[in-house]
Amino acid sequence: MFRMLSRFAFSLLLVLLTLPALALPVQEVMSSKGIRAWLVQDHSTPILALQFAFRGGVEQDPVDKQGLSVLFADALTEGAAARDAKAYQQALAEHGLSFGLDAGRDAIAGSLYGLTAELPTAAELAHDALTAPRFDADAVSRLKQRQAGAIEARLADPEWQARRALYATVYAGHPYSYRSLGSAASLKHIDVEDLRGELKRRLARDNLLVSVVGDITPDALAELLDKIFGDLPEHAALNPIKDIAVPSQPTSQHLQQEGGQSYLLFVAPGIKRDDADWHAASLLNYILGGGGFESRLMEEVRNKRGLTYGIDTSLAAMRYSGLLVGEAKTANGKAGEAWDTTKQVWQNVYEHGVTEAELKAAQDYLVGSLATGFTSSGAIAGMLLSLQKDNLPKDYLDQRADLLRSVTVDDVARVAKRLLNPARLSLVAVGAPEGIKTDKEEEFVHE
Amino acid sequence: MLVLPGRSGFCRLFFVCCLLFATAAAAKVYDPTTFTLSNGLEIVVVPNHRAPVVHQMLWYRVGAVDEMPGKSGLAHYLEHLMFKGTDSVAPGAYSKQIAAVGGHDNAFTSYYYTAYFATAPVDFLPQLMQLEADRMQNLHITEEQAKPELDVVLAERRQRTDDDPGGRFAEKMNKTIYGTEYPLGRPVIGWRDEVAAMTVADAQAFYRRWYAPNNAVLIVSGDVTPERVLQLAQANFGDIPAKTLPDRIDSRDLYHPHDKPESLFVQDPDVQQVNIQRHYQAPTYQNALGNEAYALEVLAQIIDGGAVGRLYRSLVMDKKVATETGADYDALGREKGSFVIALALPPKGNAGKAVAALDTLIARLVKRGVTQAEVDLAVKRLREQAIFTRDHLMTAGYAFGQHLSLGLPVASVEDWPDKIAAVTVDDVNAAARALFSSNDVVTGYLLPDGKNPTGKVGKITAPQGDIR
Repeated sequence: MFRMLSRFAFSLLLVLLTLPALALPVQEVMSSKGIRAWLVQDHSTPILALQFAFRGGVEQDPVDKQGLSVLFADALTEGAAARDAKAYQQALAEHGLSFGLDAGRDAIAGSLYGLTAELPTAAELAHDALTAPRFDADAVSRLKQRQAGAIEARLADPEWQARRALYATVYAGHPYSYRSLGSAASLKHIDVEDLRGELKRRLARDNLLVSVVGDITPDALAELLDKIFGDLPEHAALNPIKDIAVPSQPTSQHLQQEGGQSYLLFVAPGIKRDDADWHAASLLNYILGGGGFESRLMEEVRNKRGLTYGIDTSLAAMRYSGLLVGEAKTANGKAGEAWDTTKQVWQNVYEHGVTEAELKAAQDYLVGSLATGFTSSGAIAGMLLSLQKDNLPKDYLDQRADLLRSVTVDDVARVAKRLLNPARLSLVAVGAPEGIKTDKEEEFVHE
Repeated sequence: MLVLPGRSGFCRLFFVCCLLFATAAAAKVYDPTTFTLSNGLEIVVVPNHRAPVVHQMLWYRVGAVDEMPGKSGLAHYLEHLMFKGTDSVAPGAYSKQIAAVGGHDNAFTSYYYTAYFATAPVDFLPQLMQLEADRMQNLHITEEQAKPELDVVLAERRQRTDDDPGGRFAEKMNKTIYGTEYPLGRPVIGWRDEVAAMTVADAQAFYRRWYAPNNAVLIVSGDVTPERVLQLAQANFGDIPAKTLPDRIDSRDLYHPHDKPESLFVQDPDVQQVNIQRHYQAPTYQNALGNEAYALEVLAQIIDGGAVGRLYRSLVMDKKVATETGADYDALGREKGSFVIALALPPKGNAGKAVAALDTLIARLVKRGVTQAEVDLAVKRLREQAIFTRDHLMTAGYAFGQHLSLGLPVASVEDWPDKIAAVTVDDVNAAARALFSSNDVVTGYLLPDGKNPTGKVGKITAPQGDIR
């Protein structure tokens, strides 16, 4: 469930990732050591939200040491410099600071949040974690045990099993097929020396992106940036990763599971964020299945037929590939009807595109929804960071509404022809779905 | 993954549940303006001018505890039907109109309340209010709309409960804790056969009985002024007549306390990681004596407290019998509060050892008490949460909605940091002794069924025995 939540949130972010033409001036701040950050000053509350990312995520893991990036990111805040894990976490708590890092696809992201009065301590703790983490054996072994527990929990999750099976097929031989947490076996191959190696090559100034929202002036931020990041090496040493396209031959897989319900995960080729058709594709996705209660798929599969509680699609724009991903849960006995209805909707949009009214509604939503994403300083900082990850210019925010408004039904029809060919739709069905034929029987992985 | 207590609400679509972050009650931070219309509608306004956006929530003081026996799930079914149109708004048009300006809307149902909410550009507030006021009195439910929606609700139940090991476990836990007669012992979404048998007439009757301005709280936060909100509320809700509300069901006699600690073992084929959850009966804000509720909040912070709490330090860092831990005190209930401790175990983790370690931790805490330094840090962190909560547009709506729905005053939210600051070491120790000396406690074990190759479970002999 939470995975679905977060993926939905992610897709929203991709779609919303602009700021509206409102009073939200984004400043670029450059520190004396050359560290750059985007800043939105907000002096209404004495709070600072600083978010950062180092390019290079779990796709950097060695194939036999999958799970390394996640362990590495977690271990950074488990003791640094003179403080062991307990002392480090105690210092964060005593100063009311939240600080942590998380390895995701394409980047290791970090977040520092707290009261501005605590910034000196915040800077010291963050600096130490990024430049002098201890990787004490006791802490590392505890984190490995926790990660092993999380792997075990995932093995029981049909949605995770479906994604794993899908990525293993679609991205065979590419690091995008890797399991972010690794497996029980791969964790055994990881030791403290591996973590030290990652520290040298993953965290540097040339793969760092920073965005800040809150109660701070540009000068004070410049100083803070140097304190936190100034001692990082200049260059990261990341493995080059190749772009990968979705195979033209679709696959359909079935994973048997007892229970009354089936989970359907389906994908089509998507596009990357730097594609010229990005805005047309996000409008298309909104109309097809991205638009909450209003999408075509929700209308046909949920509202009219009551076949599911929810069905959605999203554009997964990764650094080296793009997917259009959809998912739904349905009663086993209704799985065939749900899947047939889904394919009909797909076929229909592929052949006929969308209507002027649908496009207008989607444009209205995507243009207007920008401001409604500004619910907290962390949310705004997250949006700014996404823009940077996607190499968008600072003034993209001002252009976004026009870019969306200039898309025509012909553009959407063209992109539909490009992305929605029903013959290229791949499926993973988990459960005991009735009325769905698949090419391959697969099994849950068990470790 | 930690399986958390099953008290959360059910909502129209899953993704909003993440918004239900614990507003442990916000603080003297919101500085709200409040009004009451002559028809009884309570209004709370919290200006926040960061962005030209508004968040509107309408809470009805009715939920699953108000359902008659045999009609479990009715409050939640009605929540779904509230989106199916009125005399003047077509089915589905409600959400469409809000989406057309870039806004989004949803709703959720819990034991004590049902809430409808939307976030939209502030210019749209008049229409938001008009739409919400319209469906307070003009809901139009047809068989044609209601039938497929019942299938949607059944699909929701399947997705969240029947086909989810955590959901199945939560339902069994609640049944064990509260029994079958007490309202909290049944699921908010309803028992499957009772949901399947619900009719349009049931929903209409429930709507007519409970949906009224004098049974609702309207909270508006965002780029607004109190005067403007009052003016709009008066114009849109002012003419809706108040109703004579039915008496609430008094269910106190339906609760039968456990006279000795009880254990629930659930072996589930779809589970690999062992989860343990211990549930203590606890007072609410309303029936706690003195400042016991606030002392329990400080206690929960001392026990949980993330990576610096007693639970994580002892069970995860020192003894290594668990990988994730959590403690949560919920003082927001009409009759019953709860104090829950949850553990997730490492692969091949020994449940007997983990629970023994938990028992040792609690025994030591009761015997030796907490320290001044622990209380000071817990109070500081809780009070900081009250500042951080101001940073979020939606938290005011949730905090005031939950408190006012239960009949608590605005001050219950606004004075919260002061009440927390007044908690002493003695208060915490007294509250801990009372809490942990009770026999009214249930420990639930969610276990693999042993057929799974990676989740072998040893023989379960006794509740505190050697369980793997």
